[in-house]
Amino acid sequence: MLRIAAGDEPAFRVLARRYMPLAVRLARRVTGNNADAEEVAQEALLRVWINAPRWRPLASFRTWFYRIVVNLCLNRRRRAPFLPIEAAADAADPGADAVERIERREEQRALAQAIAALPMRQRAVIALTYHEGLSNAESAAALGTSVSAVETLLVRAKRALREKLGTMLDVGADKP
Amino acid sequence: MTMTLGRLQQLLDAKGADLSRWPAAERRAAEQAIARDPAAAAALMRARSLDRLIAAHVPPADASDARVMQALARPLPPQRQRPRWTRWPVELLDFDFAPAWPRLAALACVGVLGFLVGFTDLVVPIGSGALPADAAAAAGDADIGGVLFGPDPLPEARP
Repeated sequence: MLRIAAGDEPAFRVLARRYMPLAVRLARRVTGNNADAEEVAQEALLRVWINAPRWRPLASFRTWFYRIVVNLCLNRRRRAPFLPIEAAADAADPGADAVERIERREEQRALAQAIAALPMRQRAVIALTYHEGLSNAESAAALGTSVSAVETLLVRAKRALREKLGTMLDVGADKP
Repeated sequence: MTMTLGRLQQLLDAKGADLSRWPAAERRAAEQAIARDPAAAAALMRARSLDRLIAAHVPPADASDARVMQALARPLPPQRQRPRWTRWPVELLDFDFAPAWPRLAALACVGVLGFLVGFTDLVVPIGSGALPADAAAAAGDADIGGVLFGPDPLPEARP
């Protein structure tokens, strides 16, 4: 970061290549669409470049970067989340039989719809804790809030997901 | 303390269904509740199922990474500079990224200076700059125990 702060463009491009997939992945989960995710990732990396001389190494770079990405996503509320249902990724095991594959695809579709219906801050906290593997404390640092606020968001998000997914969870609970 | 079903559900949502990541006191109370109450055990199963489902969720993706890198290949905008006098705390705190040699050189200089001062007997008493010769000799002969603990008040009282 010192090199980037000193205006070293090649160093910035190395960092951009390393952190860009993380930015796109997180922004896609929070905004719910690819176009916004690309714009957020690009803007987040440009902000790193522009503000590098002002960066203070008091927190980890990753936490700071998560915060930039999430804040940019939250500032894009005006666009509705868009998740093409037909394009929902098929997370099915290739060895599974056709019925099981269809069941899993249905589960993924229902979950995608339920997550898309969540408020953006709840989506952000789900993405940080479940998909980025952050603890509640790390998520709180990335969101610039307290641990109890993160836990409240998680409680609300999961309550909403449980209501939307209904009996699907009872079926899943039987699986090992 | 017994844990209610509502409290268990709240903790399952807030901290996840992996009880090993919970604080010890709450984990023990939850395990007791789950062993005692079938509804609590069912809540844990449902929470595990929800956690598994969320973790496996993969949103649709296309080749957006390449487009972002392409956009960043354009000339970069100017950086926002800090005033020069505010930079030194950042540079001092940046232990992970700053080169180590300036700090090692500073440490070596301090070590060499300390050795020279000790070896050449350059230490000068604070005050006038020099002691009279007899006072210096007396100070050299002084019993270190007397200096540290004070003179013995009643030496003749000893058996």
